[in-house]
Amino acid sequence: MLYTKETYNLEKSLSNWCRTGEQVSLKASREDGLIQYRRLFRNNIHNTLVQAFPIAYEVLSEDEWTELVDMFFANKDVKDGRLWLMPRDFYEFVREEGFVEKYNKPWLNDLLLFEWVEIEVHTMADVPKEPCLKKGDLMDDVIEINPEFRLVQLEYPVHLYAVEKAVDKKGIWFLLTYRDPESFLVRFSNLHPLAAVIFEKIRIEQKTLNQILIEFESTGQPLGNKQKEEIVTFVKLMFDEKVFTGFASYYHN
Amino acid sequence: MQNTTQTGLGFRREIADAFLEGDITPDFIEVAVENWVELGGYWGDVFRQVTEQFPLIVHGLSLSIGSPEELDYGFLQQVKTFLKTFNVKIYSEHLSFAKFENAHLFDLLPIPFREDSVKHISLRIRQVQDFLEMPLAIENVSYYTTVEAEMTEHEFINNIIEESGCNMLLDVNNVFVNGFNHNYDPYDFIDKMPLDKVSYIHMAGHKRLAPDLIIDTHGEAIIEPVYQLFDYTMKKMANPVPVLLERDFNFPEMEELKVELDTLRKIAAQNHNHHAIH
Repeated sequence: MLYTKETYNLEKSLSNWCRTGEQVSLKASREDGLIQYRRLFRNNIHNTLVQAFPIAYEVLSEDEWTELVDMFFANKDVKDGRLWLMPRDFYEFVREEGFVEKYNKPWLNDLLLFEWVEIEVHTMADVPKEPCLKKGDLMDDVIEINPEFRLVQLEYPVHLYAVEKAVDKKGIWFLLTYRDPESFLVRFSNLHPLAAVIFEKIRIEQKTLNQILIEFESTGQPLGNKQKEEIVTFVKLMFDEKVFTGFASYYHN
Repeated sequence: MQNTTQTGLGFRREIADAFLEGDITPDFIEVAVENWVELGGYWGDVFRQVTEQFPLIVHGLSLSIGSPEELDYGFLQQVKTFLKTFNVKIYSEHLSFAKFENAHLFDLLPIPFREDSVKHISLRIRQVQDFLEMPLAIENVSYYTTVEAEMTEHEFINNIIEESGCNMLLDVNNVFVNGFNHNYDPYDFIDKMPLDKVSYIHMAGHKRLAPDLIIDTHGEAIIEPVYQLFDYTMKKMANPVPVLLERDFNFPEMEELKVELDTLRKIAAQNHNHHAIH
């Protein structure tokens, strides 16, 4: 760095002023110019986050929202210059700083996560899809998954209910957010915990359905006929929704 | 070689359909690399389509040439790949800082106009140009205050361009805005600019916030005094360069944007013979 300490500190003061609004000692040629910078920067952050989190913005009080955004901008160092990723930093900041407890809003982190994953899945880079076979055996072939999705676990079903109702339904909820490979539309699916386990076993372990069922039996937790039917229904739905794209071409019975 | 001025328009999501459907057909489009790099899905597809139809110029936002910390070479690699993928001939950035100690601010702050700033920034520009293997065009930004300046804005710009060997993106509206806000003659400022180093020009609208304050919003139509300043600049330019109409929000009907593009084209055509940008 070829800046003198003085110049470095001038930039530091200017940056801190914009982020925090705390008075700094700066010889500015226009004091009202400094005020404009704080206003413009703050508006930019607020507007971006309102667009990203319209539900959170609606359900929080004005004071709560303003405090969250101001504290985020003042304290969270955002490392990526792509504006569309800033909501991710905001969600992480709110989660890390314990605002759930402070505001007594136990659903807050889940709500922000729900809203963020929609942005993430909509915008994420195209992921190369494995070549796969369109025809195969549902039970005995490895299923290929469309990689443009996120599966998250929530405590409160904010994806199904308004927060006033969701707060009474604390539990284990799985939200699958995925992008249609043709229309690019983002869709949501609430997964039963068993479906989420099946999904992850297919994705991570690349097991066939029959292999998964055998695994359940071997652990002393065999699935009943109704559960097996539900799993098949779930898998067929995932194919209809294009979350599952076909059958692995390297593994075909 | 074409005999009309290359005038372009910023490609924005709000008016994407107008580009794709042929409602507006600028000679080129401009985007911020940060808003489109490694983007997939719907907008990735739209971007692919539009860049097949229009040549692309890139105007970055977050390089932050005025920051104290090391350059972000990970980001620069993304930029380099992007420029190559879309056959971009001009990459421009702001003479400002937009992050401090690697914390992004998402807007532009003025660099103190000082000798050490000239040295620091010139070195960084040379490093960027070496890495990208192409010249960088640095833009004169609008600013609402100086901070403990030790030289004038025009001295600052000239010193940096001379020491770094970079090109200049001359934002004529910013000259007008800064002249108004800081009480200097914009024509005199144009006279003092290294016009032989200008490779690209921006024109835009602004908003009067107070009797003595204009904000560079890019959300209004270009006003007549700025067109006049542009005409003055074109008369002094020895070589034609691409001219961009910068409009970021508050979009009018396409006809109004077309009229603005035509006005820019006519003013430039009155003053020059023109070359294609590729």
